[in-house]
Amino acid sequence: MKKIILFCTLCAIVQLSFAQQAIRGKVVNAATNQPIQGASILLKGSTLGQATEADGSFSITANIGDVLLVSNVGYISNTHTITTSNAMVIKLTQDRKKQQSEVVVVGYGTQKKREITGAVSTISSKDIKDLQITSIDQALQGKAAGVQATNNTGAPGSFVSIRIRGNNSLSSNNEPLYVVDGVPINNTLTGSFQAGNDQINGMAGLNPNDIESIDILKDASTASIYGARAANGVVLITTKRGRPGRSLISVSLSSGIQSQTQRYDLLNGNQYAILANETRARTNPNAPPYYTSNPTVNTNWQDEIFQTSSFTNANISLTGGTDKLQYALTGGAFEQVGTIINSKFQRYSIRNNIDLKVNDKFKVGTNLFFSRTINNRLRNDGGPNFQDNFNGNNVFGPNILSSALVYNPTLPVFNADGTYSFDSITGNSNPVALAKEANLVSRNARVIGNFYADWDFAKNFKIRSTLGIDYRNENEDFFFPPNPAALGSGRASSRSFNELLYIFENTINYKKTWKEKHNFESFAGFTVQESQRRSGLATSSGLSNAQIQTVYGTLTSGSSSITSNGILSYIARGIYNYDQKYFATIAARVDASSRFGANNKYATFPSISAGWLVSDEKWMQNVKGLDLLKFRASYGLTGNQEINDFGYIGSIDLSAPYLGVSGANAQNIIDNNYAWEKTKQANFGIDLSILKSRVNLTIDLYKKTTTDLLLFIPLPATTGFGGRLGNIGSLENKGVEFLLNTVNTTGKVKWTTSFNISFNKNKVLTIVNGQDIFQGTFGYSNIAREGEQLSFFLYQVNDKVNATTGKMEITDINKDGTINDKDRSIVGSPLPKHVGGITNTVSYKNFDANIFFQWSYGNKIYNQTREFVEGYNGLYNSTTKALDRWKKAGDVSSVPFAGPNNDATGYASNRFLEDGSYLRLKNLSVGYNFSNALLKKMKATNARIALNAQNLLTFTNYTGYDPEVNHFTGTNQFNNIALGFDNASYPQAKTITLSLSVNF
Amino acid sequence: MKNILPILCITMALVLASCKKVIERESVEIISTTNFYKTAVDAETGLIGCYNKFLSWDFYGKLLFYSDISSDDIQAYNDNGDLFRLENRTQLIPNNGEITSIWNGGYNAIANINLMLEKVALIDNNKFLADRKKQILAEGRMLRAYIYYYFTKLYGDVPLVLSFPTSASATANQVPRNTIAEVTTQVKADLLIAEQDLPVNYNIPNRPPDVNLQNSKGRVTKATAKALQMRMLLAENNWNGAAAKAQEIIALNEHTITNVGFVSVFRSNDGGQNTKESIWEAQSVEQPGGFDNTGVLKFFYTGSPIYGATQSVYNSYDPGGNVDVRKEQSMFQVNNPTRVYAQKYKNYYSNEPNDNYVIFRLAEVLLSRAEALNEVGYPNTEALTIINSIRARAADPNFRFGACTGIPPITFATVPTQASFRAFIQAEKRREMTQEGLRWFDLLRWDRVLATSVCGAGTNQQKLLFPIPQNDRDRNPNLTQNPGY
Repeated sequence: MKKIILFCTLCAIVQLSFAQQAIRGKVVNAATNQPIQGASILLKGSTLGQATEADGSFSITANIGDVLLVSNVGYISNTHTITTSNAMVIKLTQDRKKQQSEVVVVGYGTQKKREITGAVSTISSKDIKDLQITSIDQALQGKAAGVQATNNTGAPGSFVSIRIRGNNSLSSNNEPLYVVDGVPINNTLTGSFQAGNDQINGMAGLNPNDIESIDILKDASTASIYGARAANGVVLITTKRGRPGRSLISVSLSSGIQSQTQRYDLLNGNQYAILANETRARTNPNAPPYYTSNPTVNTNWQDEIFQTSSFTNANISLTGGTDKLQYALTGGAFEQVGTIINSKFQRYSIRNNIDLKVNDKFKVGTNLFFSRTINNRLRNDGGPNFQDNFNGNNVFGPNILSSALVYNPTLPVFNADGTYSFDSITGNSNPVALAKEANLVSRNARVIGNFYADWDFAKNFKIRSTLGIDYRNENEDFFFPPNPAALGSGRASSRSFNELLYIFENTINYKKTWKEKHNFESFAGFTVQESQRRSGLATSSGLSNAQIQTVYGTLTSGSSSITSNGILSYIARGIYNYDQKYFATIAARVDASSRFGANNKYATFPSISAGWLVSDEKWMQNVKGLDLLKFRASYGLTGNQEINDFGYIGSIDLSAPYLGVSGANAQNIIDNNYAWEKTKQANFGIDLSILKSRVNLTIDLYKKTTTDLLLFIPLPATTGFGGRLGNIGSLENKGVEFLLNTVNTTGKVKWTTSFNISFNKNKVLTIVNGQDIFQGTFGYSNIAREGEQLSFFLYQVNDKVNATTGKMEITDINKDGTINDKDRSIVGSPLPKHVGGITNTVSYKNFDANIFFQWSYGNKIYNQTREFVEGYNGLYNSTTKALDRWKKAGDVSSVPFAGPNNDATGYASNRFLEDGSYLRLKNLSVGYNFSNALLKKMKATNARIALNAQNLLTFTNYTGYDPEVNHFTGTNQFNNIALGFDNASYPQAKTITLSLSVNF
Repeated sequence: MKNILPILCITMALVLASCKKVIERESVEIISTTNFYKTAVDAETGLIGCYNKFLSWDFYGKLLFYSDISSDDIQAYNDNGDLFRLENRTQLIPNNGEITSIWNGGYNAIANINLMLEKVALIDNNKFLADRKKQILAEGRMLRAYIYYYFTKLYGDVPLVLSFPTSASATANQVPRNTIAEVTTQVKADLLIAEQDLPVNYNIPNRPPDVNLQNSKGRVTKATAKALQMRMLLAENNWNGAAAKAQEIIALNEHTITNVGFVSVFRSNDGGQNTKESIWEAQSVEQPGGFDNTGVLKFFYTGSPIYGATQSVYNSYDPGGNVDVRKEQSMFQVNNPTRVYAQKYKNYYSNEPNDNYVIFRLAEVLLSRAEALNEVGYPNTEALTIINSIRARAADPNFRFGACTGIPPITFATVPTQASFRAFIQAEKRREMTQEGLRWFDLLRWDRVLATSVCGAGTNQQKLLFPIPQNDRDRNPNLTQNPGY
């Protein structure tokens, strides 16, 4: 304390010789010494003001002796006389009454966190600032309780599956609704043509650096305001906006390398030659062996297709404004080169967010975002289903990674004459040629924006009108030049996709407080939304010219599609609290959707919730150490309308020919009752904050029951049809989530921990006639069965091969003497028992470190990659497990003989089922915040340099490249039930970057 | 300020009213059953779709060929499949896949026809040329009558569904069975309209533009309606009626067997098909792949068939090689094991277009008239003349596997009594019409005891009907089962 007085005195003296100057300082929490971001600094007697940075710092032009008004939501406002131009520390004390008064974005507004009665997870920009992510949805991984985020593949810009509180649908979409600054955007899956099941991530078109916060509405009371689209949860994305004060320029740059270090242990050239000869001797004893001497070449094809690649992310933003006009202008450039050759993702984006106060009663604003992405994609990640087979891109077919695993190691990449080598023994495609020559590039332009006007037209009343758009235009060109070493003759395709959504929303708000204790806030309104989608595809093959890269000649396929949908909605919500202790919210949305039958065009999605802030009761005031205790409960209904447009109609097919012309053939019956899948959800939560808010715990329990699942309902054949998709099934998800935030130390070393874990149990309740639904590889590897969660349904193999024949054998589970479908059983689930994350943040002086682990526990993976490599036919390369193969009668081995008909595949069995649990050091970053002296030289307000490592360590028993693999997503049963497959998926990369950020 | 709320409300209401179209949209890439039938072209297209079902193996192919398996003309070689149960009816169970397939396929065809009939009736007459609308409706009724008639023969009482379903609810569609009499009444009503409104042929100015066929074959005509009426009259033992109906067909002068070679009736690759004899022929030729290859070729000998002709039908022809071209055309005996392969519609060359399938032809009409005339009174010279005209066609000096010398005509000395002539006519019809889906239904009216025995039901005549498919009874509790199952 003495030091401070001395310091102040010194400053007071100095003040005399310095007039107006830059005053620097920092605002911290008085109790924890944690910096406070966004605190408002206003120079008394002027309009000069600004908000503090993430590290609590500010800089304002003033005189020593001037007075600053310092305030922040949830803290007691403070005045502070400037005594020094530098290193001024302003401490704000939390207002106990208003503790936890952080603001949370909810649908159509914001609410104080302490008043929230539902279940909302919030991720702020500072939680994810060190993550080297390509798309926003990746930020949800491990950071929010109740959210399971899975990168489908490691391909740059590929799709991320988000499951909020489990899988809710068997036939429809399971992805949440994303709302960006009030615009509910489309997140249509595209681009699986030529690229297996890898799909283009529409969310990758957005720039994660623009995010201010992500709020995830998980329970019915918060989500029901989004009605028929909210059953899978709602992710609200709020982008950065300007604040009154000095203009702030932020520049950040990160750059680094990515690599894939995991490898399958494959046979070397020598071992492979022996294997091939052995197979030859078995299948064709009279033919000469393939190899008469040791091959001289030994190519590891994995090394040939993997590469160390670069990662670059540059962002600049300008924010600031006056009382009347605030702005945030941002620009970003991003490039991620993939760890498999010839894959890349680039994004260039700009954003303008502007708010203008026209007068005391009228305010307008706009958010406008534009981005261009260019994605060089690969023929990889195909599953063994029809669509991918059709594309000739399948884990068992010529996809890049699986080709690299089985391609002949005795061949070089290039022949002496510079052409690609070709494996004449198997006819397999040269993996390097597949990757390098195929040119699959999608170019995407996206505009997301809105314009709003607020009008305080009467006392307590406010009207808001918003017009929003989401436009996405995608073109994808594919060209593969004629190449004898891969795929043969040339192919070309051109795919286009564009989607336009507009939304027009009008709401009226009413807010009033009676007798100081009755606080009431409500709004009502209506919204209109239309979405149009156009797509086209043309392909040609048999091309002989390597120069012309477009589709020409005879088309092998060509089609286009135009479809649209519209939603008309009425929304209303009332929020009441008494004395800020007892809270209640009633919300409802009435949605009318073009997607549903005439009898069910309209549906109402109501919800109700209540909260009790026990800690604010008088009789609780004496409880020591307790800062906050709140109980929350909610119940409500949400819907899932993410199914095909026009699914209700009775369609007519025009391909019933007779007499050489096409005839009309009715395909199904109109279903006027066709409707959304409905999810009822009950949520009970507790918020607890103790020890001067150093320990904060949130627990949520929920139970969701989804009914009216769209499934194929059999009809009497006398109708003319076997059945139709209709609303019939049900399933449930129940679980518990914990979020624990602690401030561990507050001294010189500041250490905080954030821990979350989510348990979810999924159970199929009713499906049509109780009949199991099978999906997956071999048509049955996955099952939806009443009373069970979505599971694997497999045969089991004997530990050892038949000692006499050397063949793999299936276990006769029911011991009836034959191997048939009764020998299959449920052997685990692709769904994890729990997922979670733990983040530790430590800072000491100018250094800080962030250590973030994320995990998935209890999920199984069907390693189809290994099935392909180890289900060997004797001429494809194999893993070194093949060295233990059965060779002659009497051998005891678990690996069958080399050659075809060894029964190594043919049944989906537990042989390839593996534990997919993992614990991953998702992010490790160490940063240095520049000292004030240095900042002064740079004329910067703050600057930080950091070293980040992404996916540095992964602890798992999974034997494939990476345990975070395909959890396909889509609007059909195959994708929703056939989960947990590793189809030679593009593995996740390790990324190490150095990042620098400077604010001026 | 206080006025502002009502103004706002009114504005909102107006905006919302104009937004109705947001949720009531029509697809531009899917045609729906509710908005398809609007023009004459739509009607023609819908009708083509109704005919298309008669190219479907799963429904029509099975309906025809599988009744033959029940008869003494065709047998299944595989002794444990669903097909085998059709001729071993003690083992026939309601879960049989084949009887389910015919049932499902038939009702699917009926639904499509019902939709067409309902919707075309609503299209303005002025949109059609002359009386084309009437013809289209008559064509649809003819097709529907055909299916319902054979359903009563195969399943007995069946639900009589005459409209396209309006509800996709399972419970709303649980219709009960109607009696054979009720269904037959409807079939007759449909046929009466068909007989009236169908054209004699399509060689007329207003014929559909899509018909580019020689003689406009492939569509049902007045003769088709009369031919089915004739079959029904025979089945009712209404001999005068049947003879008269047959005569009406002959009198149309559209069809003849004169100068029509027997082989050419069946073989596209012998310059045949769509002959003057043919009354209605399913046009697979025009639609390669339409008449499902796998299904039909499985039936007809292609090297390893799973069904073949019986020894008894083989032996029903005059002994000796290359005598009766009908035998040479229809079957082929091999040894080790001794089998008679069916080959009436065999595609000899894989690159040939599919053969049409003849559903009605004049020979049957003539044989039916002969049969009816003999029942009315013996001896009937016209009946004898008819039989000899049929027998005269059994010769073919240019038959591909060697000249068929033919068979001699008969006199009343050969068939000295009404009963012996009856038996002879029946045998002649078997020889002529084998593998054309008639034998089983003829046995049902000629000799139910024999029919019971040849379908492997012993003496249990309840088994002459198929069971009602269990699959559908599971979905529709109002469907009763036939006795004996």
